[in-house]
Amino acid sequence: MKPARFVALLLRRLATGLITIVGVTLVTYLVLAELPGDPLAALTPIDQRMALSVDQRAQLRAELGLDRPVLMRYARWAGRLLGGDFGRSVRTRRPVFTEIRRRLRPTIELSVASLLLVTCIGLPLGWILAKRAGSRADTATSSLLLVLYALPSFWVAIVLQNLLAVSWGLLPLYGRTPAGGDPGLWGRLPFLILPAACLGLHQLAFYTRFARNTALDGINSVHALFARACGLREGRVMLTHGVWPSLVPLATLIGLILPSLVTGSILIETIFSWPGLGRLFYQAVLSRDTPVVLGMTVIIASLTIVGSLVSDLLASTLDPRQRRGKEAEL
Amino acid sequence: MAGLALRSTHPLTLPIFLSALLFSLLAGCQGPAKPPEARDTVRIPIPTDPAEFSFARAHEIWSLVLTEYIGDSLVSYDDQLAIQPRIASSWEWTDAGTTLVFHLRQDMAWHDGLPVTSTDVLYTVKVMQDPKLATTSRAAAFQEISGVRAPDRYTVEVKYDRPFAPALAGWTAPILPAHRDLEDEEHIGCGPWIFDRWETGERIVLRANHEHAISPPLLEGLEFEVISDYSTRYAALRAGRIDVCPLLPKQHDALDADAELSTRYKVVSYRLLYFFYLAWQGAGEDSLFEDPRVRRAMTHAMDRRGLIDRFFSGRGTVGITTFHPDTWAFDDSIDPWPYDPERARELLSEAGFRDSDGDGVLDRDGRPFRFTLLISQSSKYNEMIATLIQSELAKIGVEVKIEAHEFAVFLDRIRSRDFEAMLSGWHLDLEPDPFELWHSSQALKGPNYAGLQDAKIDEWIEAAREEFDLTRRRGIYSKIQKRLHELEPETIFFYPTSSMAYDARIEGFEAGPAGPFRSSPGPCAWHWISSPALAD
Repeated sequence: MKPARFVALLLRRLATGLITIVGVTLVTYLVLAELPGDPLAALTPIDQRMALSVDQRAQLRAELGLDRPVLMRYARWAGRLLGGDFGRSVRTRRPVFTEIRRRLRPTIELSVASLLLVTCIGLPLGWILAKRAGSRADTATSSLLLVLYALPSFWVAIVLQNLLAVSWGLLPLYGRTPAGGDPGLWGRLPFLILPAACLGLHQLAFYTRFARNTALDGINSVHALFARACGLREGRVMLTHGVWPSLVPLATLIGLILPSLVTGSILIETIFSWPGLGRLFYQAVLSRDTPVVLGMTVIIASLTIVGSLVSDLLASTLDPRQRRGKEAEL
Repeated sequence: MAGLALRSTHPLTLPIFLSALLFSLLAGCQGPAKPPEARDTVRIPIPTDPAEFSFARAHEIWSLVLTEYIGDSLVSYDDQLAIQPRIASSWEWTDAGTTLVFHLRQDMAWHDGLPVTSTDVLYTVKVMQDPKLATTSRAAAFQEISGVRAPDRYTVEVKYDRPFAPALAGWTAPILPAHRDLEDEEHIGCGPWIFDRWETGERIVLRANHEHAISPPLLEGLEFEVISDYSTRYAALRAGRIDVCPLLPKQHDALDADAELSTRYKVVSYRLLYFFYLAWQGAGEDSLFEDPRVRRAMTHAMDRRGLIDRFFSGRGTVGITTFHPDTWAFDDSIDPWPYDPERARELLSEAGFRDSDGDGVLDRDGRPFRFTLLISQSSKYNEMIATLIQSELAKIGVEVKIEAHEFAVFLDRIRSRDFEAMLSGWHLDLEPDPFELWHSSQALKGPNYAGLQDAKIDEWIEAAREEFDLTRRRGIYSKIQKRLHELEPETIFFYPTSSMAYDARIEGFEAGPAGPFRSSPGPCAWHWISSPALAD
């Protein structure tokens, strides 16, 4: 793709992305405002006894601008966001940006580890299975993957915790760092294994099956037959007609799962006490902590837009037909 | 064959190879489980990061606990629930019980080295009386103060508009440092524990203030590990990753049944300052629960002991009134209404309810005895108890529909009195003054959710607030309890008993009336048997 066309594509995607973010946050804002339940409930999460007095509530309501019309509140919030201010959490009074920043790194670590696990194990395994399609090894592994796909991840998490962490002491049970302080990435690695494995469990099963089937279609195609007839070695045929074509749809899917790796880890983060964004988001929704929910919504929407852009770019890099299609669009 | 394909002679070769690879990787990460070693800190699980580290804004239980550890108060409760001196070495009431004079110790210091003086007390009152600054529920106690002054550096005079006996209990709140901002990230206090660090979502570490003039800790520190999930907490205890752990009834049973674990850990059980209750919306002429006989019938119809035995392994006490059995004000001459469905039917019949149309549901003046029970989804126990209530009341011809909402919605509904009956829980203070629970002034906007408005109870509550003699005050509270028992505005379902497991090598671990974390002396008295701190 020529640089000018690439910049034009980026600009167009940026503009639609901005419109999407405005739409998503406005809908979220309106839904949160219309939901039953008091936004000040963020200050009384579990117990009525901790409830605020009538005077305190009125004071806070005015301070947080809850006495104004909902659209005016949204406009005010959006205006501040443009200036880089995400607002303050109702529950903790700390800036939303700080709350998110503190949990961003653990979330990225967990998501990347899970993605690596899925791609480094799932894809090669899928290709191997495609090569040995129909064999007993293929049947046994495929059945195992099906079972993995059907198992609830929280159940697997609890079983693995009890087995690997409690009974055998092979891995840390929970958390991201040991009590003595942060030992650096290598020291944190053992803490990552169990949550990343449980988070990527379903995707591992899915991607292995996906890679197997796409690669299988490729190596059984007429093109592959022709390549073999021309005397190409089997490894070369597998690479060109099995491995390479299966990467294109996978690249698209991997880009799209980027946002779900942030939100989809609530359960795993809770079980493993992982200090990530999933738990923050979940707690914020439950306690109606609107500024935090909106801040997270902006991040998730942005990730979705970036993910889909990355997918498109990856796909068009890997597949010349798509590249030509995109250029034709422009 | 091409290099990508693995040759195998058996169908399971590939899965076995991959499993072996994974396990060999895992084995390299950590050694096998070792028995936990004695330490000089204690690790305690908490369900979530505290929202606040400033007492003025603490509105969650762990925010309160941590700020109480970091801070210190003028007075506190001892293990017999009597008020004992802390920063205030002595105090006296003057001006016919309207002025409270505190004399402060001169050896108390903030964690940054500055002395604690009367200026700090004045600043605390100023902050706690300002609704813009103080959003903790404990700020309510400071609203009764009409004036405060400091005649000298170590004396404080607090004025009240009228004699106010429960005032001293309000001073169990920590004092705030006048020289520090509320937003201060260092979280300076003058208590026995110093804020060390907070690793978001992971842990909060406090270190011991060995220079503390009143109760220097024997440990070196406390580590609060953030673990939200109950099963993970229990697994962490089993793996020796934490030293203290609250147990669910089933976990307590499992621990008792495990010989190895029950040697490693001791369990202390204590009655929580908490009760589950059903509030009957008695206000309004169309209320089904206006007649006290109907409310008593509801209580008689429920097998509360059976529920405690079935779902809580017998760990709980059937409730009577909102006065806690472990506080000095409790009148032990009153027995709870027994489980007696026959008596419940009689009472309902006396109140005019009969099954006139033979549909199995009682009715009066053509209106069937059918109501909605509002519950919150915040605890799984709510649903269990509500289901039991539904089946028990069905036996006496009362139809119950359960409506469950998330806590924010539930709170909104009960505050606007939009319910017929509701099930919830309530944390009690050690100070037994029942003003906010039962005074008429709280019936429309306060926590008197049942809407009870009784002139006698109002009069007694006000009299008790002006009575400084504990024996006479107990006499007044006894009258209130008898009246509440008779009127039964709420069915106090039960007081749960909590269990806390702790490493058997920790000494000084006592439950106390407010639980192991909030009773005096609490963690300050904990120490490991082979603690290096003690060996020195």
